Amino acid sequence: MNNRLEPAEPREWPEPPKIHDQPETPGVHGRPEPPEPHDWPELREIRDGIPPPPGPEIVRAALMRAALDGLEVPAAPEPSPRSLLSWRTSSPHLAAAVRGLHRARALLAMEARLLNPAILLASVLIMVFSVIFILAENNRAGNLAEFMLALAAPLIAMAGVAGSCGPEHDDAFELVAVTPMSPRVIMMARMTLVFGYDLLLALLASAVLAPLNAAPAGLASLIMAWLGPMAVLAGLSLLLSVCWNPAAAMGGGLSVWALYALTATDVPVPDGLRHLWTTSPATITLAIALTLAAVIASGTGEPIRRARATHQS
Amino acid sequence: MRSLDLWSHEIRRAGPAALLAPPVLVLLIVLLVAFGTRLGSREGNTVLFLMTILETGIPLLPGIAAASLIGRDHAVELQLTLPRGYRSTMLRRLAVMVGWTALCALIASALLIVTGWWDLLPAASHGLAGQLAWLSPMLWLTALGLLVAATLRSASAAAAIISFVWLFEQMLAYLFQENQMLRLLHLFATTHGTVPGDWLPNRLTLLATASLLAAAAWPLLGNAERILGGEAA
Repeated sequence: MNNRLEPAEPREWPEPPKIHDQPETPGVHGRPEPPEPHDWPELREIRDGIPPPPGPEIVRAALMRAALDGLEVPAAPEPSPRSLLSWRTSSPHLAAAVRGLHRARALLAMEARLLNPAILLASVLIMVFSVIFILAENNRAGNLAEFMLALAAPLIAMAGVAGSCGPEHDDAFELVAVTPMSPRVIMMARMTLVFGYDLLLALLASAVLAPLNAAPAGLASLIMAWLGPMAVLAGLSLLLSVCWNPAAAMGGGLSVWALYALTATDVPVPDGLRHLWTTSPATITLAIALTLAAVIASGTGEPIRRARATHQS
Repeated sequence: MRSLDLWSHEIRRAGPAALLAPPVLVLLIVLLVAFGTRLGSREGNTVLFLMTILETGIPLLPGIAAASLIGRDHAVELQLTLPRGYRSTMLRRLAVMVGWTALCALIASALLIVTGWWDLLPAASHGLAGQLAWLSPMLWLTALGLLVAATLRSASAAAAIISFVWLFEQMLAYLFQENQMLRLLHLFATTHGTVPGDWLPNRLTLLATASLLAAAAWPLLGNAERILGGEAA
């Protein structure tokens, strides 16, 4: 069916009033009025070949034509030959998984721009200083590398999580809260970036130390010395950040960390704390439980614990 | 707003956790003094615990507080319009924490002097100079916390660095004791011991370097717009 409207029949225009017969009236402040178009006989001749504009009936005609013809759906962009081949030959589940991966990658890339560079810098400084110290003092203490990394890796993970998660670090949290994206997803993305960065740093430090005879028990034993405590302290920091605030997360995490640090001195500490500072099924389970509790708590309601002017107002 | 109201507001702003931590440590000292021997702790161990709390535990609190000063103000535009500079506001907040912690430490050391435990402390001087056992490391960690926080503009990063320095001073005690230069910069020379005659120079060197750290933080704190921008992003 032809979608174009046929031009309407030319209509007769009424003759303009013959103002030449009217008495001339003075203009404003005595100046003459500007000439009207019908004062020019040339314009009348030009008008003869131009059809008149459509009347108000065009609206009804357009609506009727649209209802009868149906809406024209814009054509979808043609997929590239490579994606066409891979998507059509695979299952819809796989296609959905690929789309999910693309979405996760985009989200991680966007969240990476929001990470605080000071926290990343502090993590690098602490880890580099630890490695240098271990290499310098390795001859004096046998398990120095395990002890030092078991303190440094949990510390940077705890500080990184506390410094990156929580409404206090989102100036436009109200905007984020009303977007379709779940705050849990955003929190998990940020946690993945921060924890992944610190995990990579600790792995790099272990890989540097192991070949230099700084880890007598081997690389695996060195990694096991810090992985469990790092996960537990990061989980604790995340839970406290979500349920309370980042300052409380730093305070709580530092208290646990300092208690373990005291084992380097002559001050006696509870044996349970030493058991917590290992990589075992119990510590991994504890870390997962803390993280899950934080994920569940992060989507429940408004950010009621935002920083206030005072603690009593 | 009257000056008294201003200080009252800053005390409330510090929060219960910051205000309760020093008295909790003092309470721990009181419990150790009262019940340490009855619970079977040897005299040497009890002395070590008491000094650890006084010299290492109490100074850490204002250090962390100083590191956490940045990024807690949300009404940035309002702060920038105030006639009083933001540096004085931050220093007033810091003074609340340092003053309150110092008061608690004074009470604890007075208790130790009265009960006679102070005489058993390994390297501490007596009299007024003895108070430098906790005052010097406290001011040093506070100045370092202020400088790191003003530089990095991240409370978490600054607190992590302060904690790491605190830990290293504990762990590296033997290194500090061996080297003559490092011996002057050891924060915990009273607890871990030092060469006889070096204790007072160590305390005075800490005070001098603390003033240098604070002087380095001074111009950074003067840039209110940068500081009030909150956490670096």
